[in-house]
Amino acid sequence: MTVRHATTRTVSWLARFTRDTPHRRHQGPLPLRDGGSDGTLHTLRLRGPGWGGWDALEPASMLGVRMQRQGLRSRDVPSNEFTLAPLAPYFDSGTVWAHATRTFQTLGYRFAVRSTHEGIGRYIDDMYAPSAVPGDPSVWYSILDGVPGRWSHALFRDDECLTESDRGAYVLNYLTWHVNQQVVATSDDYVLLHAAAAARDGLGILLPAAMEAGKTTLVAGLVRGGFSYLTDEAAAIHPETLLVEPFPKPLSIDQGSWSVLADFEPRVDDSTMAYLSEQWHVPPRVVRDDAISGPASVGLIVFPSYVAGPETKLEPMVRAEALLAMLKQTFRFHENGRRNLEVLGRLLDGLPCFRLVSGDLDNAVAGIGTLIDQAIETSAAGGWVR
Amino acid sequence: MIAPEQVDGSFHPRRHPSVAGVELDGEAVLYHEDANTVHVLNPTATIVWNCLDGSTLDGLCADLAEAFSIDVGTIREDVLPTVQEFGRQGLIEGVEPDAVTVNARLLPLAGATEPTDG
Repeated sequence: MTVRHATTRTVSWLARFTRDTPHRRHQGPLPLRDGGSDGTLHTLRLRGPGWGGWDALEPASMLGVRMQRQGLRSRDVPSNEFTLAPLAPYFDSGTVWAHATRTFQTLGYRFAVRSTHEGIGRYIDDMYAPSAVPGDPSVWYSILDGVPGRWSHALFRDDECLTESDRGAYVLNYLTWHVNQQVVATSDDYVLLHAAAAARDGLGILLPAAMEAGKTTLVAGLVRGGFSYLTDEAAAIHPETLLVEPFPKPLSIDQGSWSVLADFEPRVDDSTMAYLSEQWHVPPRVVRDDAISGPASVGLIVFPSYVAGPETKLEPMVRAEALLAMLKQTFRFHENGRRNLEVLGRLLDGLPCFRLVSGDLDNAVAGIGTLIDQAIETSAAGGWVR
Repeated sequence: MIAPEQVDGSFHPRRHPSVAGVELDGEAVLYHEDANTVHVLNPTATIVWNCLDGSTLDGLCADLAEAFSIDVGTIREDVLPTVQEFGRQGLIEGVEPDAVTVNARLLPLAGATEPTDG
């Protein structure tokens, strides 16, 4: 292995993670990344009282997993200074990229992806195809596959290593999560709800919910049932027009929904499928070529939750309660709280709101279909829909 | 700064300047931007909230009693604890909020958590 140079980083912020810290998991991006693309050897000097060891770091951090791999634990580190083993560079100017995607622009974020694995590179090109734009990206993601002597997979954003793993599926999941995070971080012009969204006849339905509530499964079912797709993760509401702008990211379908969405299974070769073995990331056009919606007025808000069982319940919600639930699902709400409150209050004024509890996708889609039909009728009669 | 329990008829309740609100179907939803808390008021509390104009609480009760043709003593039985509760929640200027009450109304961070490799 070639060590090009050595550096020492003093990481004073780590002093925050003391043995007495009740919640050791780091919240937010970890500023400490070793390696980069140049194989740098880093000596880490951790100062401050009571250094808590690698378990104080977020699970996905490279430092944490590297120390773990070297068998280092906090009690084995006699002082608060230690050296990570040197590693060869992941990539350099001579790296051959099997595929580089087009540039994608999703709301405020502009990126492209290159990979040493041709199959996943082409698949990602297809995943984000609805967001393809001319011109250069602001950010390059790089997926490294099968690097000798290293983790078998790694993900970089420009020169920064975001994560590395033995599992390609984890790296792809991390890429899609990171893109979502960056879209949220760079789209200040919108009120962004943690919600799925779809539309029929130009009238939108918002499905705000926390993780694991079944947003993606439900919106996939709606698209299969004839709705147009807006997003499965972040509904972008324009503060003035109150239109929902499309964020047509790939549908990220968890294993628990594969049986009811079997027709969404990606058709790729085995080595590419390894990247999709934990979560299917499916471009909406597998359903039909015109599956993506344009900007849509909101005509209906439904708060879904998945509860196993055959029963499907749709119950009306009072709007103040619905607003409270939406505030809790607004990304970065506090950074522009007054605006976000005012916009969501205007959006909700007069809109029908429902709570959906269902364990049956077909029943849930049918119920929402009935509601949106009523909303379209009301809209046509000059009702409350803007 | 006074404790919520010290709020009485001579107190001049004012809405905290960091609180923004919208009203939907007669129910107010309030957001305290310094504390990052959210509060939903029922229709009665919303009426009281909308009447907080800096006059004394006794004056407010008298106005409401006249407007709704209800005995002022009966009105006061509702309004005083309501304003004290506003104070506990950090919504009234000059009243010390109760930390437990405020923490229960903190707005959580939205979004998916970082994937883990495990």
